[in-house]
Amino acid sequence: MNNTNKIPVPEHLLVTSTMVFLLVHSMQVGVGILGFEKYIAMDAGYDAWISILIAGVAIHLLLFMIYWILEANGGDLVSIHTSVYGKILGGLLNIGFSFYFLLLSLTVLRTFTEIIQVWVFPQMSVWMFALAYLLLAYYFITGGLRIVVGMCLLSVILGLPLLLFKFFPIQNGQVDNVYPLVDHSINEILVSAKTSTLSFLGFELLLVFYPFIKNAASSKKWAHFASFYTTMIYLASALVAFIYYSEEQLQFVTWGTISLWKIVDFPFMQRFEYMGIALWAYVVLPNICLGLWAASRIPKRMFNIKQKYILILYMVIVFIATIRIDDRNLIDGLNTFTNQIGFYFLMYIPVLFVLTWIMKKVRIANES
Amino acid sequence: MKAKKIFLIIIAFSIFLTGCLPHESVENVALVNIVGYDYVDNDLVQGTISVRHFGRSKEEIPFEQFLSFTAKSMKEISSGLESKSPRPIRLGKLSLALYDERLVTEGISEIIDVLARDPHIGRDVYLGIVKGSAKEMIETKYSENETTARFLTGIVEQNERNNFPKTNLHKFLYAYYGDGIDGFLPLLKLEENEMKMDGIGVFKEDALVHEVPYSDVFTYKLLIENFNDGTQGIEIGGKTVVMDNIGSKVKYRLYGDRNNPKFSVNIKMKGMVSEITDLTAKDTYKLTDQLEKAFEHYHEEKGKRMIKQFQEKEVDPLGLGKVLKNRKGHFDKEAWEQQYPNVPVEVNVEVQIVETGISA
Repeated sequence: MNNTNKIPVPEHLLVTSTMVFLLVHSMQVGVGILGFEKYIAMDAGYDAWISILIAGVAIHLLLFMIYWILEANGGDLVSIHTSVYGKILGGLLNIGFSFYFLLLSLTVLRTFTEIIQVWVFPQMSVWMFALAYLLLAYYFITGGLRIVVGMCLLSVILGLPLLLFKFFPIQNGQVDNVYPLVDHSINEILVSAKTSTLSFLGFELLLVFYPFIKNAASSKKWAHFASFYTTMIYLASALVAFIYYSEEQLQFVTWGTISLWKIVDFPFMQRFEYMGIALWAYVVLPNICLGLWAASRIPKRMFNIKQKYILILYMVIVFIATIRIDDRNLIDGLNTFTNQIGFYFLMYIPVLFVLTWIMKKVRIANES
Repeated sequence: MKAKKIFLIIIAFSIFLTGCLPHESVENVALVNIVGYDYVDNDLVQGTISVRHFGRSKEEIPFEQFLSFTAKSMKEISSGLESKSPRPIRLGKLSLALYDERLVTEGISEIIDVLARDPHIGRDVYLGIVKGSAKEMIETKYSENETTARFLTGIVEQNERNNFPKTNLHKFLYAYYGDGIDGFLPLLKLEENEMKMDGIGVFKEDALVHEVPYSDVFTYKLLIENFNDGTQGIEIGGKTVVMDNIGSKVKYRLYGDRNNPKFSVNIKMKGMVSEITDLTAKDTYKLTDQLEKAFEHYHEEKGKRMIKQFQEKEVDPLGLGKVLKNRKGHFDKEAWEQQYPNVPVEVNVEVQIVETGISA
């Protein structure tokens, strides 16, 4: 590989290739998993589990493309864009990506705040919570990517035991619901697969933090592991939700996974959902950190200004937007919007892949 | 360095300030354990709650208070109840919701919606239909050292471990929203100051249309779920034989195609004979074959008769429609409702008597 645009990152800021697992996985699992069941079942009903598998395979393909692009070009998103499109068009696309990552962070923060408002503290003032959360995120991000990775590790470990509690809903459910019969047309399953890909959004951050990986080549398998692991978690969550809810009932449940926790019952503790939501605050935090980090990293690479200043600017934007978006309709709109945009950005990866591939061919032809 | 310190202080403040939300401890709120609703007339519904007050100090003994209010909508009832309560009413610990028979016959979708929507209410709340007045049932004093709420909930919980099928808010909503399945709830009755479980009420949508009497409940549970408890006695040749269930499994089989489905419900039960009202009977274990046959016959007949009744009333608590939907696909709700009354359903019961106790 001709790593022509390799970006030098000081050794002490690098993360090991294993950590890519955490980065990819924790960015993929965010607030989406708390309520995705309803949306994927909207089109394909209980057959949506197939859609998740299709989406998972698609994500592996996209990951493969991303790695190919990165290895062919070296560097990161910014240098790739500049070398493919030139300064101006490339710059515009970079800004686009930067805003997209910012949007991801905003969506996660706002949706999680809504969950806290609906489930736990209806009287809570949004700005206070958002401010506290953003300050915390600022603290981690200014610490550098390695600190954020540490946070990712915490979030993965804290999120794991929550999976065990899927046992309770299965006990109360009808396993017959997931009888392996395909009842929907391929079209419907594909539409639902499109919806499910949105649950996996976030792995494209790899385009930004690639230069920070030590032994980038050996990180490939970890990224794929992470994506596979995420697929399995989504699959398990969906199957449990399908067993627990009847198909029509699921459409009346806004947050499938949180409502599932309601049935968890210990002799010493009821109403496990409060526990789950509290733990989820840790799962969501690295999500917001990574999004903001990547969003502010792009302008830094483009204009060579301190990341801190951009970060503060972005945080102010997220903060104001969080306060302005203040009812269910708007939040739902924000989610739909992010999903749409996210889908286009995913579709953009194959385009970039083809362009890079052509460029490489041309370059080789010119050299010989 | 200085900037860092200031920054840390800001973070600390913002974290502690998030704690500045109105919080309530058990002494300052009225925790509702039971709610009951009674039909008054076409418009009005009477709501009754039992509230447990906890003392602020050791000397104050916790006591139970009963409040009632009559109004048109659920929200009006709750604000009316609030006006009678010394502390804010909180539904987080609700464990039993009762509805009187008349109200349930009219339909309870509005009341169920309140339970389904409120995030503070658990999904394992028991629902029950009261033959008679829910208010009276809640306000009766049953026990000296237990609250009414705990007493009533205990009865439901205990029975659902034995002869009654498991019910809760989630299971009811599952059937209420789901296609091809109808919900059911236990029927409760107040008899001479004693509360008892009196059967099962089967719903069509949100309204009660059919009742399964107490004598059929065990067979009903056999049809619905796997369990390993419960007892049932039958008459054989003038003698009563009682068998304890130590493990029953139910499987639904579906034959035929989507338009001409045929169901068979296969039950396998293991049991232990616990009582024979004939002391002269020796070598009970030699009778097991005969007893097994008798129990099989008893449950098969009862099961078939019960399903026939369901079909006549067009209710489907077994979820046969759901079985069809899950296994054959392309479920057409209206077509199914048309064909349901005439769908052939077989019941096969296989009883294995494992032991006959420690006396011969």
